[in-house]
Amino acid sequence: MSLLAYAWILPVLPLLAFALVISTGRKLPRMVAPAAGITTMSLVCLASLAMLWATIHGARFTHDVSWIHAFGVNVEVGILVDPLSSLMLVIVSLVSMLVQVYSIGYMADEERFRWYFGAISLFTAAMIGVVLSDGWLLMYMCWEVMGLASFLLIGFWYETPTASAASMKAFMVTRLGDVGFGLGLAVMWLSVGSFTFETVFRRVETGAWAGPTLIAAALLLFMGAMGKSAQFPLHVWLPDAMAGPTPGSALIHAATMVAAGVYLVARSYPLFEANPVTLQVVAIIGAITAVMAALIACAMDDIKKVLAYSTISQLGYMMIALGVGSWGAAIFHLMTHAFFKSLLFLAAGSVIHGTHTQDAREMGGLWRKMPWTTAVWVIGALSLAGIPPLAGFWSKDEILLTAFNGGHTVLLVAGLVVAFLTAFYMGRITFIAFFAKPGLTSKSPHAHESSAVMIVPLVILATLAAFVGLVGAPPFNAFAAFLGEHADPFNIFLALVAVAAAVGGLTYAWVMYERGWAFPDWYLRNRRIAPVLIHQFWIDDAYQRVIVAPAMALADLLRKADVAVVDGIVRGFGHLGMALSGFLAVFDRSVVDGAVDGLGSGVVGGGGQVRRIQTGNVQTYLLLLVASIVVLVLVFAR
Amino acid sequence: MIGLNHYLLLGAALFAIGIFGALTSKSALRVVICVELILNAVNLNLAAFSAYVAPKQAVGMNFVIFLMVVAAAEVGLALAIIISLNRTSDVGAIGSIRRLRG
Amino acid sequence: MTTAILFYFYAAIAIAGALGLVSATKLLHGVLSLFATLIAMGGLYLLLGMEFLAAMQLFVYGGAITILVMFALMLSGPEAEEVHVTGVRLRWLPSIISAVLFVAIALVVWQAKWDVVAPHALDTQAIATILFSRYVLPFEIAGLSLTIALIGAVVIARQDDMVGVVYETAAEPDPEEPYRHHSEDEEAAK
Repeated sequence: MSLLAYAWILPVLPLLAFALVISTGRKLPRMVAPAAGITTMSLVCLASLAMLWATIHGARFTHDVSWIHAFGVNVEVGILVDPLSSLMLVIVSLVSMLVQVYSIGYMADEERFRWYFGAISLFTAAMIGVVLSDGWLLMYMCWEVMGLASFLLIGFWYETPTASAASMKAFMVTRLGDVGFGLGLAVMWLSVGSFTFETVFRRVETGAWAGPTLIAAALLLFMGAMGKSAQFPLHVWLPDAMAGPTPGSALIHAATMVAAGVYLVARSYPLFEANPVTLQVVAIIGAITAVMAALIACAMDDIKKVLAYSTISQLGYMMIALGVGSWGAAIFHLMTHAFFKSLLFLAAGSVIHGTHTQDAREMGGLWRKMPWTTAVWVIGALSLAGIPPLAGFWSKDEILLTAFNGGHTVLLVAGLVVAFLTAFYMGRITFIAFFAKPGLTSKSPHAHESSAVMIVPLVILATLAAFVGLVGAPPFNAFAAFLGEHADPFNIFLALVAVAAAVGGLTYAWVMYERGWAFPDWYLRNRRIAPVLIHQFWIDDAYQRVIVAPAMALADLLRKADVAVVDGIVRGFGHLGMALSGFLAVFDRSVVDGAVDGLGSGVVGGGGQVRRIQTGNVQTYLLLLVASIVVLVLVFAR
Repeated sequence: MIGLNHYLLLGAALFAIGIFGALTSKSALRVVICVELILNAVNLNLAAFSAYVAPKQAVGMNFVIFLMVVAAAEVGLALAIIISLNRTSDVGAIGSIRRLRG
Repeated sequence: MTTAILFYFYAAIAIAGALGLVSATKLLHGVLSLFATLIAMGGLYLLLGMEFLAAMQLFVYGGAITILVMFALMLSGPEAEEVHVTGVRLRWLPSIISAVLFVAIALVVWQAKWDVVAPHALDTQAIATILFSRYVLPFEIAGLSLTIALIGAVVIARQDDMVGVVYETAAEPDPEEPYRHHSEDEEAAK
């Protein structure tokens, strides 16, 4: 369809919005920035819905342009519109638009209002670029721009040291992953000579590219995915990234950027499928991440931190899905997660906006003061926990199904444990913040519900979080078909087990926090468990000791060497110059002046000596006179 | 037998003695008198030359006459000065007159 | 022959007198020695054939100047009697200088070739003619200089309390008198 040919415009629109904000700054009225962003994003959203509709009906489009054509090298970049990319487009543009509408209310008091929207537009443009590219090179370039936008948004309040440190940390950790991505590109170029999906996949399918280089390329690409999707051990940046504005976190750290890693692996699936080793690595790392993050989330009292770890855990879930062979399930979970996680983040933003605190212990019984927020939060929490018929249940069940059918028992058990824990910690936070009786120091009595501009997006997202899962539900299985994947038949027993796990978690939380029958936070008082959780498995400390501290020490050493040696040399020259000039000064004073003075005093002394002839005695003069005459006579008489 | 040289030598001797006296005298008066002696020696030289070299023109003789006149005038003045000086300071110590000391 | 003897005689007296002047302890003795020298010089002039000059020598030097010096000596006071110690610190230097001077002149004289002519006396008339014709100007000037010296000597040697000798002492005019005369005249006129 000719519509798809214009897909290249889609990333340009938000870029234009960004350029507008950057160039005009404060000269235009406040609302122009969000208006530009929302307008462009609405256009993109509508266009992407149209494209989705087209691809559902089988349309596809791809177009390449030769970018570098020199020295016998031909590098092409281009766009690809197929079911996966059009689906991603819809997710990204929809969430971005809703977040921007919400931000009008949330960031109303912010001084750098316009810049915020500019950064959001920039990010969205980059994400669209990642999703639309038909090759790894263009994807990598847009990937990097996404990293930049993330840096800008995390460090939005750069005046505070936490925010600037967090943005640095995010940038550096994801950079580490990106190094792997870049090396993978290098291996790919050396092995295949092209970056385009089509070309490379053909090579892999025909077996022309196989063996260690393929495994290496796949694993290196996965490093990039680990960085962006916060997998162990590159997950440490995501909790600290909560220092940025909450709607920004909703967009980036819930729905889109962190999902880009999953998208990358999904796109590159033929590379991973070629060897069982790569898939196993993906799955194992995903499992470790999911379990670890879920455990830590149980110990967090800050709402945003809970959501952050939850995101990490769910991303691990998606990696498990990729690892057991179903990228369709992973993308399904990506979609549902995008909606309910962004919903939860925005709801958390509403709570923070209303109570001016992020610590759940300072809340309690919020449902009285903020009913709408409570309602949407509950929907999101239940969806995340995996309670049917909400969306999260369907996508989680799909993953467990694939694991079970593939015979990956360990991963299945891990998935069930994570499901239980997910339900538990979400229940915990929900009860403590929204339903439990508020403590004496609680801020709840002063809370107020948020404005409509914030509530409406929440409601929209809640609707999606509730019902979007149905497209992948067994009667339809439309999702899998849409993606061209084969969906496993529904296993009712597994579904019941999963539901049991979720309900069990919620019940335990209810028992503990709402009723207080069980000892609440017992594990936080356990001397052996608590430190592990509170220090987040000491991973950050390990980084600090192994990497950060030596690097800083080296930098300090070099600085000292620079000061000592280089500056020493420069100072040495300075001293030399001073010494030389001092010597010359002495020389001038003693020798030159001495000569001049000596000359003067010599003349004076000589004069003093000569003056002794003038005795004033007449006879002396006469004597001299006669003596001179004698001399003259003697001389001239010859 | 007595040639010009004799007179000239005699004149030179008187001249030398006069110089010696002028240089070594402590008294100003004595110096003036020695100057007279010197002048006389000069007169003798002039007269001798006049007699032996050009007697007809008598240049030397006239010279001597005028020299005598001048010497007389000079002596008069010098003695007047000495008398005047003697009133204000001790003339005898000629070395004490040192106004021209540089 | 006679000239030789006379010459050496007069020469000896001259030199002896000069030495006597220089070495005399008392100035008066020295002046008298000089007197002897001056007389001897007159004799020498005679030997040279210059009678006029000899006469002049005796009159001027032997008579006027010697007496003048003695007058000055008398008027000078006791300091004229002085010990023959020189004011110059280095006494040996003048001796050497004088000796060297004499030797130098002697050498010059001995080595020079003079155009010697036989001595020839001039009579007084000839002298007078030359004096008043050829050298009349110097003659007049000499007279003038003598006059000036005379006046100068008088001026130099006079004492301050001898002012009245030159001028007549005049009474100081009454400063008010001219005015009083005027007023008297005016009153008289009225």
